[in-house]
Order: sequence, then structure tokens, then C-alpha cells
Amino acid sequence: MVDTERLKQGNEETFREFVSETERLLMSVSFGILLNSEDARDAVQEAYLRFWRSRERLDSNGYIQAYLVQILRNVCFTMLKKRANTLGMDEIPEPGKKENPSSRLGEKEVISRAMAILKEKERMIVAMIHYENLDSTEVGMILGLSASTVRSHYQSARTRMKNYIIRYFPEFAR
Amino acid sequence: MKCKEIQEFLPLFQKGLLDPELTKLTSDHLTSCELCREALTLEKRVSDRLDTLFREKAEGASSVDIAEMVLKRSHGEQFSINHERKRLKLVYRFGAAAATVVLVLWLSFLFRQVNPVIEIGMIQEAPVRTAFLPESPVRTPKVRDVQRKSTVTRLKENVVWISYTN
Repeated sequence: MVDTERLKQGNEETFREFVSETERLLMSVSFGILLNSEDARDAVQEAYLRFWRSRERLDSNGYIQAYLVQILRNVCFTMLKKRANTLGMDEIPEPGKKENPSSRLGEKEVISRAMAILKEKERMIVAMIHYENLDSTEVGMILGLSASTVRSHYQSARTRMKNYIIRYFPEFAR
Repeated sequence: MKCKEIQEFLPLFQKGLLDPELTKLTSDHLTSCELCREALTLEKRVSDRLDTLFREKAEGASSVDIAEMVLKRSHGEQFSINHERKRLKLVYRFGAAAATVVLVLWLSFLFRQVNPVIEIGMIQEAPVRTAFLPESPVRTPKVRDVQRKSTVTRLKENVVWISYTN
């Protein structure tokens, strides 16, 4: 854990250490929300910049990662509003319309599409659980939710993903 | 417990997020239910692909030195802020100097006086002297043509017309 006081004083070495500790978490959350690597990287950079600018307002007793993820969420939601869609929502099959079997997608693409049907909060939770292997308590601390709420969101997200895959990509489910 | 309920727990079970009691129940059920084991296989597959997807994407972040880029951008902003401040300071200074000059000119216009120096000398002999001479600016009179004969007419306060007689 980095020293919050040193961060507040603008110690660049501490900041570098903090970035290397948290960048993967941020990148996975950012990708979870935006579902686009380029945008995710831009959002992470912007979030760190805003964090660094507002370092003097850091709460020494607070959970800095939660603060950082909150900044990232705001940045990502602003980006989402700007482009109004994630991962080219037009590419996602409309409900009731079966995927053309001739256009077989790779498994990674299928998973990306299944992720796109989730809500942003659910995507963040899936991202943190799958990339960082965080447990529901840790995810809850970062997002300001109870562990049981996190589990419930995760369960519902995975169920929806599974149902989507079975319906539109039955070959993946076989 | 029914298969449908068990299958709802599978994502949490498979990630170890289920509480111990339900974990045991699910585990017991799986040993005896082929259908739920198949469902678990699909859940594991989805989970593995999710792990891979996020690992790839998140590791893309480490190829770029984010901290350096952020610090550089922050320094750049600081530089332009300082530059802007310096520019503004110059503008303010120039403005203050211009305002001072205007103020001085305005005040000097307000308190302007008809050149008393020459007139004092010239009108020393004039009978109307005390009526229009300013009282305060007592400077050394440059007496010119004092000896010359002149007539003085007061036009306005502080303004006189002097006509000489050669």
C-alpha cells in the first residue's frame, strides 16, 4: 500500500508506485465498462490525471482505490455518453433475430458480445472478479456496495450472459 | 434443491464466492446430477474465456508507462498555466501603467492653471492684479517686459489678455 500522505504532497515516486500497483485493476474495470481497448487506455490515463490533479483532497483514512475507481467510472461514463454506444452496439444481434450461423465468431468475440448486454455496474464487477480475482468483499469496498449485493449482481450478470450465449451462439454452448 | 436453483448458484460456486453451506449443497448435488455437471462445464468455459479476455486487455496497459504520461501531461498543464499567469501579469502591469498615465493627465487637466509665471511678471503693474492672480503658485516670476507698458483684461478666471504698448 502506498503512503497517502506522500501522494498528497505530490511525491512522484510514490505516484509511480501507486500506478504500477493499480493500473491493471483500472484497465480491467475500464475495459469492462467500455469494451474497447483504446478507449479503456485513454480513460485510465485520464482517470490518473484527474486523481493526480486532485491529490491534495485525498482522504488519508479513505480507501484510495475506491476513490480512483470512482474517478474512472465518471470518466468512462462521460466517454460512453459521448459515443452513446459501447462496442458498436449495432453489431449485437437484436432480440429475436438469430445469429447467422455462417458468420461464426471466435470465442473471445462471443464473450465480448455477451458482456455488452450487461449493465455497466455488472461489467465492472465481472471485470474485477475475473481479472483481479477479487472476492465479493473487496469488490464491494471498491464500489461502495455490500458483499451480498456484489454476489447478486455477479450471479445475475453471469446468468444473463449464459442465456444470451445459449440463445444466439449455441455452437459455443455445445 | 432443484436443478434450476443449483444452476443459478453455479457461477458463484465455480468462482468460490458461495457461502460454505450452499457450496456443500451444490457440491453434493453435482455428484449425482449429470445435467448440472454439464451446466457447470459451460459456466467454466465462459469463466475461462472471461479470465483470458481480461488478462489480455489489462496486460495491454503495462506496455505503456501510464505514470510517466500522466506526469508529463500534468507538467505540461502546469507549464501552460504558469505561462498564462506570466502573460496575465504583463497585461495587468501594462494596464496599471496606462491607467496611471491617464489618471495623471486627467488630474493635471483638472488642476491646470493659466501660466501664472509670465503673467505675474507682466501684470505686476496692472491694477487688476489681485483680482485674478492665483494665490498659491508663488513661483519665482520670470519678469519679462515688466517695464513695458501694458493693459490687462481679465477674460475668465485665471485667464487674462495682455496687450502691450511699445
